[in-house]
Amino acid sequence: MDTPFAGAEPIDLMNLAPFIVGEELTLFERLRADEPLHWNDEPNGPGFWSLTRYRDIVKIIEDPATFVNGDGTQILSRRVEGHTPTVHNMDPPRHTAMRAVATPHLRAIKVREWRAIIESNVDDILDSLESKGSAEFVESAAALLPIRVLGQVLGVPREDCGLLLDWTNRVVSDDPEFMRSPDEKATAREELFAYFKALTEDRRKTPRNDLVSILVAAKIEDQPLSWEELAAYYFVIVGAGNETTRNLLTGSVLAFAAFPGEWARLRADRSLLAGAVEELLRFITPIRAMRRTATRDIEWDGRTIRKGDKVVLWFQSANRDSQEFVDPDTLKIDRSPNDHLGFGWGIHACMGSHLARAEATAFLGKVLDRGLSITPVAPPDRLHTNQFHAFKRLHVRIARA
Amino acid sequence: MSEDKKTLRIVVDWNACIGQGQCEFAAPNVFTVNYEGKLELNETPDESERKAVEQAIRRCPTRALSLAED
Repeated sequence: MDTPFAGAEPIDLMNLAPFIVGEELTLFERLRADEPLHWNDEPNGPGFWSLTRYRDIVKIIEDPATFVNGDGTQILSRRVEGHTPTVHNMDPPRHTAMRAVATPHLRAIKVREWRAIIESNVDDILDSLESKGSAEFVESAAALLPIRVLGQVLGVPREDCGLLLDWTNRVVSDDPEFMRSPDEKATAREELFAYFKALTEDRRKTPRNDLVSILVAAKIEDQPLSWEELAAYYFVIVGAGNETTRNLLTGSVLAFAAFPGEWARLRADRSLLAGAVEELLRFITPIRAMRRTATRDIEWDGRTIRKGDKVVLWFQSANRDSQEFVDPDTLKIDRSPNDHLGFGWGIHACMGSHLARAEATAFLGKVLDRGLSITPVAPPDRLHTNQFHAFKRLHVRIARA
Repeated sequence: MSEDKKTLRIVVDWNACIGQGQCEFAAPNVFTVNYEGKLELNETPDESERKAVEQAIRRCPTRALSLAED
């Protein structure tokens, strides 16, 4: 591939170093300005296109017939869930029917029914944080809340929630910290499937008010979902419910530490909370990117995206595009309009968005209720991945303000 | 003198709607996704809902919503 900007160092988004130190935004800024359609070679793959401007990304997402999910959504040419695709790695019409199975149970009014569960979990976590005074925030708060809530939504007993977290850590990234063996992902996947197989059989016999029971009973065109389809569904719910909200929560602590005036405004006016959560979704963008695959040749900016090419949509970059957002690098809790891509966009937009919002709202709300300050005492350890804006550790001090 | 009591008129593209419910979040008094995952709405809400409805229209990830031009 040609490099159109001689002199400038070519940008390689497969190099994880800038993501690990938190300097990826300068790369995205260069790409948006100079090379909005960027070709990236891949050491062990075919390479991929990157799109970084808001308008371009929305345009691609709104054409799901040309740019499909069925060949995978990870940047790498793989599907971590195994052979049977998850709902986000599927295309219509099957995608539409599969999605409709769980959507009604993740919608806003249903999530309001879970508010008590979410709030009691938040109270529990904050009691413990307060008593410690200082803590590693990811382990003791950000990771706990989503996994416990998700456990209850799915019907996984609380004592098993740690397993969900461990499987997620091992399947979502290649961070060496979680890769104990070369086939770590396959092993974690098999463990998760075995666990849910038992849970599936149990709920088939004795249904409860949980998502596993709903999926087990669901039918598409009078046919129940096969075990492989159920397994893929569990897989995506566990991963997506986990490697997202925990990073939104950790990212929120970092964002308010960088913009303490915005935290003060929120403390003074709680009616700003809903908008603040949207702004945090934009500012943090827990899922940096999703991939599509072109189904035909497309002319774009004088170049050709070939049939079969991978096209990576960098939501994190879109959410910092000054053509769409005024002062994009500033956290403004009352930003309006704020049509961020924090939950993606289009027919594959996040199914768990209502749950994520409810968790973040409950967490920040209760931190405010208690008058707590949660302050980072060191820079975070970031997960070694370009696809997720994810944190492994953040040491914080907790005090009554 | 009475002001015209204006109402909004919302149009749904039912082929595009996937029951995602971002509209429900933006304008809870107007939109609800029911237990079958199908959107229910007040197609002619009061003018006071305009801002919320406009946000719902913008936030619909499949652009299934619009306002009728009268």
